[in-house]
Amino acid sequence: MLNIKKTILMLIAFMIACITLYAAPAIAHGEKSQAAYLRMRTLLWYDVDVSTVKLKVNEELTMTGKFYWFYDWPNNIAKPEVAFLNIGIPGPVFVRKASYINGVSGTNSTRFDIGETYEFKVILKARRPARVHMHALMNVKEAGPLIGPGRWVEVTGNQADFINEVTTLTGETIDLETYGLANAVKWHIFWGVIAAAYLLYWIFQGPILIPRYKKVKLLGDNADDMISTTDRMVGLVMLIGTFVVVTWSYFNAYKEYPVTIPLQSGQITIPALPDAARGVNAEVIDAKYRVPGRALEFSLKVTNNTNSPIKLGEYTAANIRWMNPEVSTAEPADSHDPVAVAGLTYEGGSVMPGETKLLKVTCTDAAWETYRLAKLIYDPDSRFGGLVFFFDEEGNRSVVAIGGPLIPVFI
Amino acid sequence: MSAVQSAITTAEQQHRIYKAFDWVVIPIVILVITGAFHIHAMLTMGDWDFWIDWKDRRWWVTVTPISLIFFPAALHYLLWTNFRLPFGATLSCSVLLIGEWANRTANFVGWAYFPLNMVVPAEIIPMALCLDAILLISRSLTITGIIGSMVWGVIFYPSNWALIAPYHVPIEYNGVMMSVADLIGYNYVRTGTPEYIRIIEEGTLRTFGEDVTPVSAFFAGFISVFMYFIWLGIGAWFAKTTWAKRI
Amino acid sequence: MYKMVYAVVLMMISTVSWGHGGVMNEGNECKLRVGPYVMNFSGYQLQKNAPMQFCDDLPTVGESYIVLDFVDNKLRDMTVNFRVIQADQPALGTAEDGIVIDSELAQTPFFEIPAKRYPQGTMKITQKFEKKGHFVGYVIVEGENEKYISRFPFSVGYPQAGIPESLKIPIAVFLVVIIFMIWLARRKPVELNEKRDD
Repeated sequence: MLNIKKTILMLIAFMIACITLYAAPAIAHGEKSQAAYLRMRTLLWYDVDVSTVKLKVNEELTMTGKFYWFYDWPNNIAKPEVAFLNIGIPGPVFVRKASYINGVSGTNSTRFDIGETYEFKVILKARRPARVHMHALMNVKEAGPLIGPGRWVEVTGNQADFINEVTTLTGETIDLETYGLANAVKWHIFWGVIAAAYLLYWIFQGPILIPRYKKVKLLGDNADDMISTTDRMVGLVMLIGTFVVVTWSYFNAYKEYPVTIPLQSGQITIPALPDAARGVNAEVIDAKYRVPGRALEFSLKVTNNTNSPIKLGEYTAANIRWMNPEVSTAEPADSHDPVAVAGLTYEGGSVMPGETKLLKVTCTDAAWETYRLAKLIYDPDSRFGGLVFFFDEEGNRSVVAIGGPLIPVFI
Repeated sequence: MSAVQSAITTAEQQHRIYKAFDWVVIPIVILVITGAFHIHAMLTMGDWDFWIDWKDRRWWVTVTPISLIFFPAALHYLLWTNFRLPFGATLSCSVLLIGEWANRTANFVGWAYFPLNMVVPAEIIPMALCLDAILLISRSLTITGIIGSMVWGVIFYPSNWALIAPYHVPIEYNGVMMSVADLIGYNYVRTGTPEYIRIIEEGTLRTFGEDVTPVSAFFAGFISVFMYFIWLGIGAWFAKTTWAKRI
Repeated sequence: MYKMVYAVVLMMISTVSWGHGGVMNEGNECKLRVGPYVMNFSGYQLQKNAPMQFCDDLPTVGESYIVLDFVDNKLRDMTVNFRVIQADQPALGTAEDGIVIDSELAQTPFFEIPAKRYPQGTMKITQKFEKKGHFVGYVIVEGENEKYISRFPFSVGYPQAGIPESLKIPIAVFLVVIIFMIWLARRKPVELNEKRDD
């Protein structure tokens, strides 16, 4: 015989074990949980800004910025043949009123070119009060989400006040929050009542399981006689009734909505922005990561083909910015915006027009560890990437993508 | 001397016991079907049923009837051969809809704040009623499989058009023409469901001219016929007491 | 039998998090809590265990590095004082480890990094531990109107005995399966509808 007490005890123990096992992992979250090479060598975002971080329901927010598809794309990540500019928020806190990539509407999925830069703009309308960490986001087919910089945004007000009105091509103004809902619910109730009536018709014929089972076994081949003529008439009425109602509803809907179109899909190709390097070449000669020092050190061979001396002002990768405050300054936008205000130093000074020079660059910050970029050295493909920003004396900027193998130094 | 002795002596007692058995078993069966069918539906036709901008003329029309005939067929076997009860399809589809409505209002609206009109489930009762009615009239699983399953597949789109037609009204938006459903899908940001993930009609079925829906609907009915018989068999295989002998 | 079940359950719970006072090992991150703020704690002994990263206890004596990385950017605007005091007993493994003792703060520390700001958010402490022993670390952060102290006992030169962290869960899973199988093997088969003669 089963020992009930023992069994219950075993089951409880097993359940506790499962729950604890389940609760154990899942510490890192969001952007930090993505592999470092994925964040450094796929999509590099910069100049990302939001028009406001505090707004009321029904007010609008604009997010702008640029992204660059890294030239040394990892082999195991699908290329951006089909991609969709998205926003990373928990549920529709905002509705996306518009999105543009280089001025072209981003309602459709898009094809992008590796090694090219694009600018984007997303207009969002606040829908639900919440304080959320909002990210720019690019979904790439078969590669998944590539996350851009995030901002804390707070929406106040009342969701009940939210309206999302549009005018159709047939001239009707509708609120997308509730449009078509009453009609759909009405039909679900109508058919639900009929289904319930049919089920109750059978269930109310007294106890149905054991007596009918016995009768089926008793009658054997003649068990079909259990279905009476009345039953079959009910079936016939139901069948014809369903046909009639469905046909009527179909033609009625055609009459009410004479102009309809199928769901729209398809894909567009958007031309890229002109080269942001503006005649500056930069190439990584060697790169080291100092483990206890939290510092990336690399030598950069820079050729200046512009007609003004240039200085290195910033290195950015994985949405983290290392600033050289002597050349370019930036402050973190909020408590979760990783900007190393004075994280970049370099030896070599200005690169004169026509000159080729070796710069020794050091990027130091705790972010290497806290944003889990240092994990790069444990990847199967320990290569890093990023963008360096050079500035000339008039403040013109050249953006150059760099990358190469990264060697850890433990001492 | 036998240790087993019946406690039932009168017909009235017997009737009470039968009734009690119904009361105990039917709710359990309903809960099990709700859960199992719901999981099955979410795994096989999930997004098509979740989102208004997935309910297209080709894939949704094809996938839904084919994947939904599994449970009605298996239940037809169980309930018809053992009890001569012809409501397997209506029962499973109604409880599925109850589960879906609970899911949409609690999860999609309650937790994730999507508007309810974006996540209304497809209407599946009319096709279930037809399948059951044909079984009831013909009293034959074979005829139900051939004619009923065909009707099941074909009637799916017409019975849903009354629900989804409003969402196919065109809109001009940022210089692009979209249907209302597309616009709802674009407006209400889904971080994990980008536009390209939608498996919907692109282009047309060129061999068949422009009429996509009838072709898809007949195809769905045709495959449903095969699926019906396969799942009758699976229903027969599972409806055995062997499974309960050793636990 | 029951004892084994309890042991398995306890062992699993222990993999979730353990801590010595202010330092907590949470899954794959070693965190130091100072008031409302969090730092990442990493210990390195590069000559002996080059790429290994330790969470508070250092297994051997010798040249050691402790790196504190500030998770909260607010800490970059505050001064951080790090000091280590010799202790006579190892960490208790209870909540008491985290309670600040004023008399300890008054002592002359074994070594100390004076209060300073770290705008890059990373603080590297180099120390040569000549012989093994037990210590108490203090991290004192001070901002304009706030001051928080975190205490964490640690040991140097006592390699951790017992099952390595990464093996705990697999071993626990194996044990659960084996216990279940033993129970199945010992159980008599059940026959439904079995008629018994009394």
